Amino acid sequence: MSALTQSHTEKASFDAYSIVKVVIILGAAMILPMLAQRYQLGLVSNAMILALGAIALNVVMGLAGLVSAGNAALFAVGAYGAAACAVLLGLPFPVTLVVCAGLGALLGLFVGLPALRVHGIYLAIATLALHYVVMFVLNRFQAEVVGPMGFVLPKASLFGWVISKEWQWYYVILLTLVVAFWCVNNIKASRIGRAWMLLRDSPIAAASQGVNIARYKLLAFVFSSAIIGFSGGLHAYYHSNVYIEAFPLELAIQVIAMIVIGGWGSTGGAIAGAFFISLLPSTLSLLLSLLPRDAMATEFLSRNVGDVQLIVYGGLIIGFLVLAPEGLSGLWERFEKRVFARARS
Amino acid sequence: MDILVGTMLLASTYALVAFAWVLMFKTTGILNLATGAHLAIGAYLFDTFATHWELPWVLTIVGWLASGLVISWITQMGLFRRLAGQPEFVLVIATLGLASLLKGVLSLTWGTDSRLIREPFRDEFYILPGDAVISAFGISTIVVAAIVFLLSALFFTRTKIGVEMRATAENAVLAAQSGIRVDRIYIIGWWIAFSIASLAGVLYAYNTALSPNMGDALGLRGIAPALVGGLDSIRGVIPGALIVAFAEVVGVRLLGGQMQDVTAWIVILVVLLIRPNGLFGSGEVNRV
Repeated sequence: MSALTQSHTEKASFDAYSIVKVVIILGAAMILPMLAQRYQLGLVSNAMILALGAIALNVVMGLAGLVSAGNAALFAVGAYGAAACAVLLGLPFPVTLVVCAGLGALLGLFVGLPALRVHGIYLAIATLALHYVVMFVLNRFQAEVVGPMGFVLPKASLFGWVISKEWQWYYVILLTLVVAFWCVNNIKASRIGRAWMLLRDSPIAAASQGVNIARYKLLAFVFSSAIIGFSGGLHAYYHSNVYIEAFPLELAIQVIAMIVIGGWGSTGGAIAGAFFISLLPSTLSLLLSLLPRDAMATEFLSRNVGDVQLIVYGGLIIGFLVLAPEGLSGLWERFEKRVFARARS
Repeated sequence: MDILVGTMLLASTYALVAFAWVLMFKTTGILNLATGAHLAIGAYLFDTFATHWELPWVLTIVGWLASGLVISWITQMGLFRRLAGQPEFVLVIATLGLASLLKGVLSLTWGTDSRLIREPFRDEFYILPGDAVISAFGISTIVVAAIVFLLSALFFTRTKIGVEMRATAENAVLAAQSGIRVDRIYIIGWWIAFSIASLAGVLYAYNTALSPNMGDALGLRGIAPALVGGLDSIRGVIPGALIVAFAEVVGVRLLGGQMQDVTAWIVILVVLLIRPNGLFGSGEVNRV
């Protein structure tokens, strides 16, 4: 009996704690534009757009246990879709974003449908193929329509309110991220989310529970592709231009690194991973500027930024997989538990 | 006629790369997305020994094989052994991380310029009936590929290690129970795959030039012939390579040079649509 009440109060205090946590994080996010400079705010906005993609990939990889290397391609399709809708058709901003999400979902269906009939691993191959084919097509499209400089998008306006300042963009992107977070977390807790996790952990058990495996995998991939397409459109409007070099395969690997670092299946972890990865280059250069000036090292690093990044991302993926497979979110949870245990005793 | 020659030449390199993919998938169950990076690194190591240090050819080959063994040993013992028992998608992501890491190391070490490897003999061109041209290196490529396939057929049926590898591929736990040292088998699997992939890289470099781009252009695309033949089917490798090479040669001929980069990927999407197990793949990969 006493154990029961104790666990009950414990749970209540934990609930109260998680509400406080949410309030603190949201509060900090709300007042950030008053504290940060324009450039720093831009970095955070960019990280949040990538976090959208990471949340979406987390549905496919973390929940459904599939590997997709198609993030950059789907992101690009969203961005080019936005460019085509806005520049060629003159559609308004909200409509364009819906079209982007639709394009992402359609492409996800097209690739996932054949690949997921067979085996989870085939999605990795199919999305890899998707990446190269999509990049080829978009490159031709860009060359035919505007030339190598790419598309320039008009200013976004939401119900007559023009979004042009950095802080305005910040709040728009923050809002979409919060909504996406809320949606994904709710789906994760629903029947569908539990089916995904079951088929990730044991396909045989899932099949014997009457979960239609191919259909649920496809659902995960299409849903995530829609979010990625949407975030691609947002990215295009935010940067107000779109060109092919912005979407290399390395981008897809970056997003995968975000999920691995954040922790499988954790939506909050995906966001943390996205911030970790996308703020890493600027943090590193900040740290380097604090070190005593070594001309050779600085020059070497600045000349080989791309290669060093590849090594760091690859190393982080491998390092986290081997040493901390539960990622940042798992480490954080363990830390929280320890603090709670100490507080009680 | 020159379509035929082009197809044969490309198919023999593709067959080697696809062999590396299938071998990894069959022995260790890993879809090794780092095959492309392995291919490029192996070819650059060969180039370092042959061109830069100007070692005699025997030493070059020994050094190249030995460094491949070291790399395989590190990959298996340092990384994949510690991931043993993890679900398949974790292993695939680990190879993706490995690919990114190796790609960075590659272009940091050797730069991005393309270069030529020291040649063992002078290249000559022969004109075949029907206006087709083939170089001496082209002929050697086809011959070397054929020899590799003959040797590996003997290896897997006649030698103890070869049979042990097949047993491990069939069922790793039972193999370990009957005294096969599975770790060692996996290291050998990585090693053979690494060597064959980088051999393809070296041959390709002799026919064109050595460049880091080769990893993606040849190594990663080698998954197409592997998939066409069936990811878990070694005898599907050669037909798969012939089909993909033919598609690529014809695609370039009909639609221009930029098709080279995408034809193989389009073939992948088409194969997944019609016959996802490939020509000779067993249905076993796709249960559940």
